Amino acid sequence: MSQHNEAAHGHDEEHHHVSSMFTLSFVLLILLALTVLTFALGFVEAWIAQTWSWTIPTWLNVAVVMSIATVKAVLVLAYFMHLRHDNALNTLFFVACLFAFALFIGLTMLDLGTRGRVYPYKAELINAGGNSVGLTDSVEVERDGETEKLQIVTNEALFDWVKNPEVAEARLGEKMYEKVLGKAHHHAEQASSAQMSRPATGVTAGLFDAVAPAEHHGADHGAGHNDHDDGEHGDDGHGDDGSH
Amino acid sequence: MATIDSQQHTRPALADRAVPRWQRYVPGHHWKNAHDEFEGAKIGMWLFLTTEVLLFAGLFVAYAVFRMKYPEAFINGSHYLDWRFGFINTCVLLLSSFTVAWSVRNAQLDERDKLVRNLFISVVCGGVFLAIKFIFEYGPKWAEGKRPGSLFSYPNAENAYEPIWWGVYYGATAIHAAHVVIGMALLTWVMVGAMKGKYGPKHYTSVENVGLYWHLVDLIWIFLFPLLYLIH
Repeated sequence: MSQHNEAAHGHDEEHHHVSSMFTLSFVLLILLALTVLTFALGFVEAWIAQTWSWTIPTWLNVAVVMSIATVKAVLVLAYFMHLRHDNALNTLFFVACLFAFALFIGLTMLDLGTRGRVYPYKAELINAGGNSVGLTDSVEVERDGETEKLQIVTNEALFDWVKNPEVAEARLGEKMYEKVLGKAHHHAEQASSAQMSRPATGVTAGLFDAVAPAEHHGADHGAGHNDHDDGEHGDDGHGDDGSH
Repeated sequence: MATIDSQQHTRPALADRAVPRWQRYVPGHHWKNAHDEFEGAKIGMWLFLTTEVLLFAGLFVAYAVFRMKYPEAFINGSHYLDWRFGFINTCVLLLSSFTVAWSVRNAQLDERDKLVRNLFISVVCGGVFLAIKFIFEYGPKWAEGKRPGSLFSYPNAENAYEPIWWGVYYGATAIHAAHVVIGMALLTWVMVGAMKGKYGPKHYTSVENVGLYWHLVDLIWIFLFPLLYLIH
């Protein structure tokens, strides 16, 4: 029985596909020809630009060049790497891997490539250095007799509001302060920015009350000192840790 | 027959020096037969190759992202490269891929001399590729200050983001070159084995799998080279 099996499998071994010399040489020739073709296309492009003063758009250049590269890759995979006459599982692995790659590059490009469409209608929500929720607004300022509309970044107002409500009111004016206060009422404690991390709050009443949040150094350093680099913050944090 | 071999009972022909080593090859005891062992090893190799592809996928995505953000720097970048070196290196790698594919055929048909010769040509091609890369490309560019990131000191740069282009260029091509070096070492190892008669119709797993690795190196270059040299 086992001898019979061995014989059968021994027969199987003969079935490994042997690539013919013609196939291998022909594939090499096509690969070299395609390589020459991609370079030739560059010269054709230059010639077209010179003769008809028409520059081939980049997307077309990229599409043609990458298509030729893909054809070359398929030839190498199918004939040099024997996928055409091989266990289909190997092809499946490779295709699955390419699918993962497609997701990786596709979703990344989709994100980065379409941010231009999102920014315009999110513009008023976006602030360099963080977005203190609801704390930006436009104020009208009189300058040289003309009324100007200014977009104010009210991170400072947030910290003033947290630390010293009187200063905030004086800075913003009564009406604006009411507005900030009104908006900040729900959000200020949740707001985080590059200068200040979000104070810990939770749904459980009194859970965090034992820790007084007023004196944490993030607010001290953040307010009004936007130029501070990260290194300095890091050093401060380290010093604090050491003293505890 | 004076040889004392603990596995003599499973390898009856082991001591027979007249028989080539590939004929005496016995698959691992946990395999049903040599064919299954060969297929299993190849599946493992393909799985490894997918991880290699995903390694380079990161570099390709880095290229795409930075190209999208700083197109001018990348247009300048591709103009700094000499297409002739890219062309020669592409042809050299394609030729080596051909000789490696041929060497698998040689092993299958028990053509030992041709097998050794083709593997040798492949290793030489790898060497030529690296020589061109280092002598004509990396060397002069590095000397001119065309370096990645903070090492950048090229005085005639036209775009502030050219250091990023060089970062992508050196990153992608150097990791590829490292694969060429590893591939050459593996091919040399297979070549030495082939000289000793280790590979033949019944057993050529290493020839096949090292060949697959070398083809992947070629495959990566097929895409790297238009991205770096041709698109402008």
